[in-house]
Parts: sequence; structure tokens; C-alpha cells
Amino acid sequence: MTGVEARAADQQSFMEQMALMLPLAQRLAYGMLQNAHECEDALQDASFKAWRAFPRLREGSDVRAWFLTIVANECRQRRRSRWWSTLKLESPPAEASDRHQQTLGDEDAIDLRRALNRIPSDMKMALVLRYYLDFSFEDIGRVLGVSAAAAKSRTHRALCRLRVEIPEVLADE
Amino acid sequence: MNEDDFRERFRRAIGEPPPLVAPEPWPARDEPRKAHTRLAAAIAVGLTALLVTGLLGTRLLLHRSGPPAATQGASTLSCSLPVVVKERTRSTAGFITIPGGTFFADPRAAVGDLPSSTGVGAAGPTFYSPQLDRWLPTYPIAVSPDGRQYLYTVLLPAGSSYSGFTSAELHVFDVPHGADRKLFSYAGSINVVEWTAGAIIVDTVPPRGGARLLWSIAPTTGVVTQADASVDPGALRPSAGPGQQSVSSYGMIGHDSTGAPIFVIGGGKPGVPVSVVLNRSGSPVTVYSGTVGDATNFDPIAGLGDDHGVWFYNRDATRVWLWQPGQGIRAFELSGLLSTAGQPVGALAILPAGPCSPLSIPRSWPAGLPSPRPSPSAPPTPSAPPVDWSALTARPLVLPHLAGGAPCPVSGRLDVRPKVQDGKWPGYGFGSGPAYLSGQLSWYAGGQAVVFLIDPSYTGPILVRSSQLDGTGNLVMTGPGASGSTVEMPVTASPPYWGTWLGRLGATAPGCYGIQLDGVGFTEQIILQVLSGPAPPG
Repeated sequence: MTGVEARAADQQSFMEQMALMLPLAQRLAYGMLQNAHECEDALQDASFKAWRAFPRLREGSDVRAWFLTIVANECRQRRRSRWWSTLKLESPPAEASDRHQQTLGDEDAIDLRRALNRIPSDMKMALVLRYYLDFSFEDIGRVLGVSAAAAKSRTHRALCRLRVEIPEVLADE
Repeated sequence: MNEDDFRERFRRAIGEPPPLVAPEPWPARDEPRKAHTRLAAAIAVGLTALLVTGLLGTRLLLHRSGPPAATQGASTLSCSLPVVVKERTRSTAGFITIPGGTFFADPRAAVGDLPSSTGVGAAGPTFYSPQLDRWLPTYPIAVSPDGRQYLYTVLLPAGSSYSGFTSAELHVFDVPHGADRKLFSYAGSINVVEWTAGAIIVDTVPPRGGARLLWSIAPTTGVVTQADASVDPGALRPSAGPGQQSVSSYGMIGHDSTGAPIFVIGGGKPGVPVSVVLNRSGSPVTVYSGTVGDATNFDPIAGLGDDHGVWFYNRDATRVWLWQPGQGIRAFELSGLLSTAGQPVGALAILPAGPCSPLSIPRSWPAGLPSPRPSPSAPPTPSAPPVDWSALTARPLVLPHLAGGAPCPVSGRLDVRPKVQDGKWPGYGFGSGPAYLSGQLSWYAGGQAVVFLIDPSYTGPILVRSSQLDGTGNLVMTGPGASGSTVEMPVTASPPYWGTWLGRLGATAPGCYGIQLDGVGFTEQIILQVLSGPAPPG
């Protein structure tokens, strides 16, 4: 749906579109943050920002990509939170604090998850969009604001970086 | 690489998110409780904001930005402008005094006794009817011209949200008589476009998207006829006047008192030309023409007309404007809006909630609240009340003494979920509450960052003192209100947000320490073990 069509269909239709996109947006936020509480907060903040930015949405805009971009930016900001980086506060292990974590808990999964948290946000975003949300490279590019070729390249670099982080886990990949 | 295999491992590593659910925040009426999601509520608030109303927020702190955009000339204009002030997670209904520009929250802005649209999250006061002298859970275009009835929609089956409904009903509620009447049903969504003297215009869209249809409903007889696009003010492309840029990007932000739509054309980024046009059929009127970020700073997100003219509400929440034909725009700087320090521009929104009306103090106006028409020399300035610490310091320290060799009875760790307006805070704490020690899992005498998290159930002052339980050492606290091993926190939580105190904690010697927190009505002890040396790096 383009931006003009969303406006012409009135705000109620826009909310319908938002409601339909929420499950996808939640998976994106959860894939990036891996914490139910932060995911929920990120989604609410992104929804608020989307509402604020909607009047400026240009004709021809892809509403889904636009909203997911806002969600992605919200996730990036939370990962780069100054609080944790400057004050060095300790955090309990994620597996213990996130009651909604449903991983099998095997060592490979734990190692992969930790490696994902060590690679740059943009790389992790490409991997989440590709392997958690099943996006095509074209759709990944729309969310990241790059071409499909660039999205494919970024995904490939992210995989290479993962192999560096956990060679023993991805040796067969 | 085997993509499918990697995808499976990737998903197993991340897991699945929890379901998107949240408790309904508003009390139920006689009807069965309806499930809403917090996110749907946020989206619904955004929707109603786009429709030129919204829910109201909490107390805010105004940070004025930029020079006054226009001269507030002498005027005989005097009225109270109903508005909804929306924060990120809360909204407040109230009035802005004109010409003073002071905002006062209305404690009588309750709508729990009235029906409201379902499937859009929590309903709140979004429109003030001067005829009824009360708030309504609807937006201006859904209110009858006489201000006594309003429209709302119900999603079916009952309890549905917009992601699962199959049909909808349009109802009209007569407030003085308490009478509810169903006007229209449709196998899809129903949205009110406008309510004029002659007809109610709505549009419908199938549940999964599709053709948008327009309908005209006679308010008194309820006769429904399909209408064409010409009746929809939002579908009328704004007319760019002579010398203006072509209409390539525009949005409707409201309407005047006759129902004529108001459009913002262009804009979006600083330096980009922007125009605000009142699209009266056959004769578009330019309200303003300039560039985004210019000295005037006329940057409205909403506009609503009444007998005075058209009121515009600035995006940065610093002012409202009145446009009158032949007189241009006039700014009214705002005060009385509170926001926590550092709140970014755009985190607040002021939305119209009705016509600017003469407002007399209601008989039931709570005692002690400022009058809606305060003296210009005494704008309200919030400040922390002075604390008499003597009452708290008079309480004795009742920390236990440990016999030699006894284990340190360290306080247990609890999972907490502090809701704070800014920043990211730990999700755990030590202690029994309402205050929790947090920030570290292990403490070192060399010193580390420390956090106190205070549950929103407690808003009073807290005195923090400490002593070593197995020796004569002292904790050393640095931070706001700290002196040696004592901390005085005059202001703590601000419901629904948690209170936070950030500082540094060290000790003169390793050992077992007790922290006593004294507040109004409670005394709490937190026990911690302090290890020798500095905290390990990382």
C-alpha cells in the first residue's frame, strides 16, 4: 500500500495496516533484542513514532517497509543504550531473566545467540530479516534503505563475521 | 551453505516472542470486558490524533524552544481551548487558557460511563462538549452539530480487534438521554468521515483490505445511501494557489467550522517549502506559506475550526495558533505543560479537543486546584516540596550485628520491571521494596555505579543510611543528596513511572553491610556483601 493510498483510505485503514504488521514487527524487534520486555517497549515507541511521522509519509512509500524501518531503528538505539556502556552495570544472564525465551538451551544455540549479540547491529539486522523473518533481499533492502544487491552483500558479510565469532559452531555452514 | 539448516538453527537460537497481549487498562462498563493490546492502544491513540483528537497525558515540564513566532497582539479574545496533551505513554485532557496560554488538566475528564469505539484500545476523554459541559470518548468529526450526540463503532464478534474482526456496527449515543441507537452495519470496518447538519458520512473497508466505499446516513431517519467520492473532504486534492509548488505531497490535518478540509502541502524536512491551505470548494485559502524551520516556526500537526477561526497545534507543542480570515495567524505560547528534562522535541503532542469556549469554574471543581484563569503574574511552577528530614533521621538504625564468622545474610534478588521515561534500567533489585538496590550483582570496596529503583507505589522521600554488620567500616555513597554513607532522596517515584537514583557506592573496608531505607510509613533493610579491591574490568 502506498502512502497516498493509506491516507486516502483514512486513518482507520492505516491502523488496520499497522495491526496487520504488528506480528511481523514484533518478530523483528524480538529477533534483535531477544528480550520480551524490551521488545514490547521498542514496539510501542516505534508505533508512537510512526504515528508522529505518518503525516510526512511521501506518496509512493511502502508503508510496511517504512514501519519496519522505524522498528529497526528503535532496536538499534536500544542496543546502543548509553546506560549500559558507560556505567558498566551487571546484568543477569539473558536466559535466566527472559521468561519468554523458548530456546532449546543447547550449547550451539547459546553460542550462536551470544555471537549475534557481538556482531554489529546492521549485520545482525540483515540476518534477522533474512533468517528469522524470511525476507527476500529486495525486502531487506527496503527496510535497510539499500539496494537488494547491497542487502545480499551485507547478509553475506554478516555470515562471514559469525563464522569468525563461532567457527566451531558454523564449521559446517 | 545450507540455508534451511542455518535458518532452523538461527530460529532455535533466538526462540519465539511471547504473544502480543496486555490487560485492558480501563474499567469495564456493564458490557463484557474487551481485550485490547497496549500496542493497539498506542496505534489507536495515534489514529485519533490523526483525526484531530487523542487521549490525554500526565504532568509535563515545558521546555520552550525558539523565539516567539508571532506577536500576541492585544485582543478581546478570551476563552478556554480544550486539548489533549499526549506523552509517549500517557495523555491528559484539559484546557489552554486563551490568551494566557496556560494549560490546566481537567480532573473531571472522565468518560468511563459512556460507550466508545471498540477494537481501538482504551477509550479516553478526547472531545469536550461545551453544550454538555463534559468530555466525550470520541473525536470532533464524530460529534453532532449540537454537541449532544456522538458516533462510535463496535467491532464484531464482540471482543474483536482490528486484526480479527469480521464486521462492524455504527452507533449513535444521545448523551443527555442516555439513549443508544444502531445506525449502520457493514461486513468490514466503518470509519466516520464527518457529521454535518445534513448527513453523517462514513467509509467502509473490508476486513482484509479492499475497496473503500462511502456512505451517507440521514441522522434522524437513519436512511443509508451509498455516496460518491465527492462527499469526502479528505479525498479532495488541495488546490495549490498561484506561485505555490505543485501538490505532490500533502496531508489533511483537520477542518474548519464548515467542514472544509485543511491540508499541509510539502514540508517534511527543514528548508523545504510548506503551505497550509484551507480547501473551501472553489476557493482555496492559503493560511500560511513558508519553509520548514523558518523563523515563524508554524508547523502544525492538527487544525480545528470554531467560531473564532481555525486553531492550529504546533508539532513541537510550544504554541497554538489562531488563524482568522484577513488577520493571518497569531501565536499563543504555552505554559503549564510538563515534561521530564531531556525529553526530545516531538515527544509531546497537543491535539485539539473541541471549540474554544467560555468556561466557568464548575461547582464541583476540586478545592485547591488553580482556577482556569490564573493571574498572568503567577504561572504554576512545579517544584519538590521541602522535606523535614528530622522525622526520618530520628528513627534509629536497626541493622543487625553479626557475630564473628557468621555468614552475611545477603538480601535476595528480585526481578523487577522498572517503567521509566528515559534510559535503560536494570531489571532486578535487592531488597523487599518499595526501594531496591540495583546496578551490580557483586559489590567491591573500590567502588562501582549503584542504582536505587523505587516502586511507583511510593512517592515520598527516602533517607538512606548504612553500617557494617561485621566490622566498623562504612559504605561511601556519592551522588545527588549523598553525604558520606547517607543519601537523602526528597523525590522518588512519579507514578506510573519508577523512581531512580543513580550514584556510586564504595566501602572503607570489605565485609557485610546493611543499608537502611526510611520513608513515610516504612523502614527497609538491604544486606550486601562487599568484596575487597576494585571491581573487575568489563
